[in-house]
Amino acid sequence: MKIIDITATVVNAEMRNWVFVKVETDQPGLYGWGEATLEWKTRAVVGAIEDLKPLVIGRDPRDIEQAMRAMTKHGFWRMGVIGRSAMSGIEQALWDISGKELGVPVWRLLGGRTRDRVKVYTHLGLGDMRAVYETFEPGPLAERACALVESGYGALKVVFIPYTHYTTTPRALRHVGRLMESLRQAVGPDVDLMVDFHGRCASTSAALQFIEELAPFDPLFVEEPIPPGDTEGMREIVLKSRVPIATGERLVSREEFWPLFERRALHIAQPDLCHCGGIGEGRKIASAAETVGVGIAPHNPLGPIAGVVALHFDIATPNFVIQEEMVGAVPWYGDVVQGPIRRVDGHWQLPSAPGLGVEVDEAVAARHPFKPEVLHTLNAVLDDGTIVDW
Amino acid sequence: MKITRLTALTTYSPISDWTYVKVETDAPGIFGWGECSLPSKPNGVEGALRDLEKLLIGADPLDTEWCWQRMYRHGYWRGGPIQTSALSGIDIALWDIKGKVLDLPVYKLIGGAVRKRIRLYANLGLADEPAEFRKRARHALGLGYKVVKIYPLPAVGPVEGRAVVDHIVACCEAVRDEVGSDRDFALDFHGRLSPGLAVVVEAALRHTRPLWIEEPVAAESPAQLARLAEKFVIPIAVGERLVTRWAFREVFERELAAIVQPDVANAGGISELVRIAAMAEMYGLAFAPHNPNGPVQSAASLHLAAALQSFAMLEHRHEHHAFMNGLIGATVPTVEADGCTGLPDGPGLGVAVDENFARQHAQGSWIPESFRPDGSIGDW
Repeated sequence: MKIIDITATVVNAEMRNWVFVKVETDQPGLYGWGEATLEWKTRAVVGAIEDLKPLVIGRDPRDIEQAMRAMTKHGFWRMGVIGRSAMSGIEQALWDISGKELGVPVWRLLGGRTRDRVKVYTHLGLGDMRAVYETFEPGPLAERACALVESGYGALKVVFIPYTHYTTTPRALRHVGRLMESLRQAVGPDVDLMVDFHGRCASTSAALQFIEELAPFDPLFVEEPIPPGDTEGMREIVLKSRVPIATGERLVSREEFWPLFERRALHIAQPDLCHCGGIGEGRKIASAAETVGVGIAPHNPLGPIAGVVALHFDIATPNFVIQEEMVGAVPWYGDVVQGPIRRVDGHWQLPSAPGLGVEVDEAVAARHPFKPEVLHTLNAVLDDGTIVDW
Repeated sequence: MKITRLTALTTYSPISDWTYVKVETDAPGIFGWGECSLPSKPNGVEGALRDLEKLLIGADPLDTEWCWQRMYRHGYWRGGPIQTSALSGIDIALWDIKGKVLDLPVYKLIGGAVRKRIRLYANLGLADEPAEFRKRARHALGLGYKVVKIYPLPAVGPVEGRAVVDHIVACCEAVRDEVGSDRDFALDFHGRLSPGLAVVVEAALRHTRPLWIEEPVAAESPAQLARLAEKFVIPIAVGERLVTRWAFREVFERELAAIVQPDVANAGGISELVRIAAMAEMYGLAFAPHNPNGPVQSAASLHLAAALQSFAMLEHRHEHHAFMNGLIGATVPTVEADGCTGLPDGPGLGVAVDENFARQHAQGSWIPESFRPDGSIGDW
């Protein structure tokens, strides 16, 4: 069996362009789907897929490890997040092909079941951009959180830390404390709450002050307290924080996770299977994490294929903790891809269709052609004009 | 003054694909050229340039640092080589614009010249025969170079015996014999050795006294260099595949190398290489930029070389000058009898791409592949 073509289908979904990757084989009707979405880098990712094609076409799609090795070693450049996203989409499609050929769901190829259902969390407004990134007052926060609990979710994440630089103010700290208190009061003690800092604190001291404000209200974890890449800074936060610390959406490949594991500089690793190098790389990261007592909570604010990939991965990954989803990012989120995700009581159920079990409706996809994503990052500017992390 | 347009342009040189970016402004006749060559990833880099355009349209091109931060932080995703190469090319072009507006060469904008001559070395590339290296070395030395670099290593497995080690030593001995004791050579292993084999190889070739051993082990794990740095007598060089100062920080903090080799077209442009060179100066490392691609990158590297204290020597293309001259419609700087070249001209970078020439060479394909004898995939 041979790979004969790789194509990218781009679907605009407001703040993201979903990049669906189709790998075709010389067997009639046998092809696979993956997702390589990377917001604000769409044309670069599509270009990278084009650049990777000559390394993969003609190979047996079932030799997944060898294809990944060719894309890693024979690209010479070790890929960053753009190239690894392109590779991830291709790799997922190869798993889809293998599963379809054998007539089994991908999770069976990964080692089979390690749990019976997959706990998920979502964001305010189910991922609606303004609800997620612009809820900074206690009233709307409590209201939007309660709506999620009423619709069956037992866990949710918020992004309400203000844009910060190296220091913060008593006013900002008190405000964050009040937000967290009203959120906990609104949802009660049994709902898991997570707070994503998005690397907005440029210093460990600012991050630790915000974490102290959150701690009395028992977050499940705090995410990216400082920008990615500073292992010793993360270690300092882990040593001083009372709240578990998560990071990893912006780390690609196991080499970038390893320093954090080695220094025990996190509690929860959050690889994104559409950025880190795909399902196989995610498995290697999870396996390394397991040896140092670190759980896995895959990052996934992306499109509908990304969620299905995560579902298969989560079923087969022993140290899985909780799964992110954003199924309300656009009102028509579920229309483009038919997939096997069934959510019951805040948990995804096990799928049984062969491969990933997805099919892209290319006619519906064509209704949402590429356009530049909404650049919400432009809001990350301080009053004096300084550019800071989004 | 405002940025009005970014245009990407990929051209296939006799070596590999090179990618350029032109930044245009609303000031009549003022535009800048940058190079962001990342061979074998031109579509990715061109896509990244288009993705970055919306962050910069309307910005003042003279605010080079604001533009840099804008591209770095408001992309949210921290750049790997594709993103950072695009950023690098734009940054180079903005410095070119600034130089043209102020009518000064770029090196005068980043501190001015700290030296009169710029040392160059010739990269002789990959081969597996001592005689071939002798031939290539003789040619480069004849041009005036005082230092050459060789890559004498076939795709090897993690464990190899005497034959492989002796072969590397034979290549080194041959080149040492050619250069004599007044000139020098350096070694590049392109990340092909396992850490264990690297220790064996370095001990075996020490007597040939290369200036450095470059990328002895796989680029994805700089931490592997820690043990080598303790064992090696020959200095370690690294950095062509590291992008931004954050990637270099580990090399500096853990003293993993003696020489850093960032590439101006990949690691974050002129702005970032000034900062990396300053870190090198602080930690006592030599700064020897990677510079294997086209003439705009080479010009930017020469401006950096002129102005940065920690600079040691610059990689320099000694072949394919006809293509490069065609690409810029001018003559690229060449090595002189002292193994050096003079300070670059301005204003700005002092070079511009001939778009017609580039478009005439827009088609091609290049894959950096290598296979081990058992069919498994090796590092290129």
